[in-house]
Amino acid sequence: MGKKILIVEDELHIRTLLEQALEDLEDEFDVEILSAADGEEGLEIIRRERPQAVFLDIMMPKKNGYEVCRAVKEDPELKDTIIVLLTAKGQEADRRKGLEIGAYDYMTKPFDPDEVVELAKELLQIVE
Amino acid sequence: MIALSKLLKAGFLRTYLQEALAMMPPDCYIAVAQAETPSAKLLGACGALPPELQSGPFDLVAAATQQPDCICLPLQLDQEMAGYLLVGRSQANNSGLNGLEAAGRFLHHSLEEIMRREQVKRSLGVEALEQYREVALMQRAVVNLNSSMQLHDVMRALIDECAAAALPADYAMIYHKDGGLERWQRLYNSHAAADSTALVADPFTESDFDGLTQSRLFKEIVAGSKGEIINDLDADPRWEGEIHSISTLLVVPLCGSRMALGTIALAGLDPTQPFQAVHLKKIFTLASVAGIAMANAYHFEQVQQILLALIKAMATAIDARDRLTAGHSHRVAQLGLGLALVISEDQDLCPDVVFDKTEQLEIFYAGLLHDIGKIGVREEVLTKATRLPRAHLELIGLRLALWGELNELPWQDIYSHFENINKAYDLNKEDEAFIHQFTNESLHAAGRTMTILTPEEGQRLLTPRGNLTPDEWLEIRRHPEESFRILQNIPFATYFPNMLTMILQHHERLDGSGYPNAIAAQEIIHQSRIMAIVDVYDALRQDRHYKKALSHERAMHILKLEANDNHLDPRFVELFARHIDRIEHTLTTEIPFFPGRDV
Repeated sequence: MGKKILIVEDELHIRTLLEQALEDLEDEFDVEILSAADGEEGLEIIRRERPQAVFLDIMMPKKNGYEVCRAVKEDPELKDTIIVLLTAKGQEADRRKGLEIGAYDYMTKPFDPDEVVELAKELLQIVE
Repeated sequence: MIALSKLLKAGFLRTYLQEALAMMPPDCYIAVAQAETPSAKLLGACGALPPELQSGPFDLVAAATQQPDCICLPLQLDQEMAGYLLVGRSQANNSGLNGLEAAGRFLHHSLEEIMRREQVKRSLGVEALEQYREVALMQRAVVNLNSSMQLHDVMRALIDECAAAALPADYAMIYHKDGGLERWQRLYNSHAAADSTALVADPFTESDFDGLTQSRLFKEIVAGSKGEIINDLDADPRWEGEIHSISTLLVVPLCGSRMALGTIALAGLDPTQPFQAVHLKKIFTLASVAGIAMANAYHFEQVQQILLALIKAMATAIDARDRLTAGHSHRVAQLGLGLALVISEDQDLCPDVVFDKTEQLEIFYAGLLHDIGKIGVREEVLTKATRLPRAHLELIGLRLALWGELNELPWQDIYSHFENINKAYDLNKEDEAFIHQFTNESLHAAGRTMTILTPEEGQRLLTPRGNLTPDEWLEIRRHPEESFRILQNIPFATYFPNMLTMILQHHERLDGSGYPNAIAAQEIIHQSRIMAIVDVYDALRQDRHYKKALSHERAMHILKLEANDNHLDPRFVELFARHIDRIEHTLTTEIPFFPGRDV
């Protein structure tokens, strides 16, 4: 069964770069990379497409990352979705809060592309 | 050439084709296929696609030309064939191509434009990701490589970074250009291969690595100050097989702001695992950060060296004022360091006292500088060997001779007694009575009356201990404060906050009988107590103007008496006595940051 990874990020250039960084995994791991431009769209895609893992930005219009994360974790059908939060550098409080509401890990922007790919591989192994 | 499927994603293509089809007459179909040799692969289709065009692998172009109402348009990117756009009308309807050509051209044009833009976006993305990688690497390297000011640590961190960088290398070596010698030193090598299967038994010897530095290849790369990859060593004319086992080499010089400080070399054993440009770039990035870190460490060491050299020169200058104290400051420094190390290691008597590396160095420096205040003490006081100067005593001798002649008394023995008293360390009752006798003994000559000794001469000869008058003693006792005054404006305090305290307190005693401030035990810091013990010990063990050098046993005995009298710290004296052999052979290499230590 094909796996799916969703990127929820409102900033177009970061979203594009994340997509591109993860694209190489598509062939190697039979995984589809999806993306959403805000929290609401993200939640919609999570409900519809059921991705195994989500890279979720915190600061977003409409629904922020915490709200999306909480909604996913409170939904019995979605709660196993692995969520990685994307935080701006130096905002330690964000990280703690994210981990408390059930995020698996967090990444700091600007991100190291290799780290993103490594983390995504780790996630794919978990859902295996 | 990038696959069309990456440029026209399935999701997008589905919607695009559906919406395009909606604008066309009924019974039409549209399909996009990716060019593959020898056939083509359908990426997306919409409408009544004939069955002949649906399943592969087959020659799509040929199949399309056999369809009666079908246009097959090549999708090109940078003048290369990326795929095909098929627009057609199902066979059921025979109204011909009628109008489909225009729609086909429009779709073809817009798809090619989308492909082109997607391609641009991707290449910008690749470039941006590459920059992200570079920045991330640099950020990490800056932190890791600058975490220490010691050359050794910087180079170790660089090796660790290379090991983490997943390079096709089995060995990483850093050669450090050794200061003025213009010699390249191999510091260490390590297996850099992340893949454990690549590890083989170390086929190199020490001389092999030296061979690398001697090779023309290495010298030319280093001289060029740019890095280089050599994936086919055997074919390189600059290489004469200096190390047989290696197949590939990546060499990058390590440059500081103005000078070459060393070279990093990576060597691979497996010829099928060549170095690539991206590896060179990575090492180049690391090397540029490492070069700056090394330059910092190098300058830091130089500052340390200059500081130590200056302090040593000052110590030598102090000691040189008096031949009998030559080397005293250096010995106090060494003994102080030795005692501090012993105390730090001890778990028995002083488990509570531990000096860290900086404090150990601080004690060493304080030892070198503790007597610098003696610069302000007159030389005649420092080197005073007798209670009265020799010429002055001879004057007394003349009076005595005259007195002897006049009274027909033998005077030579009396003069000898004076000479002995003049250089004695302390006096007995008989000596004191003798002096009193001659301050009262009168001499009448040429109509004048005088005593053999003037009251002042009597007083000076009566000095109970040593040979200094009270005023001279005051002058000597000023030296710890003088040291403090001289050194207080040198910003030692940043690194060595206790140094001045130690110097000021080295003549204080635990019972409050010391000088200059006669402070009590609880105010005397541990370091000062160490300084006091080794200062007394060295003074006892060497000749002084007023005494001969004592044996080790005798000096130790006196130190213990001083401890019993609550002058010196008894625990420290005990450890000093127990470990004196080790303490006397303390090497300066035992302290950190010490310039010129073996790396």
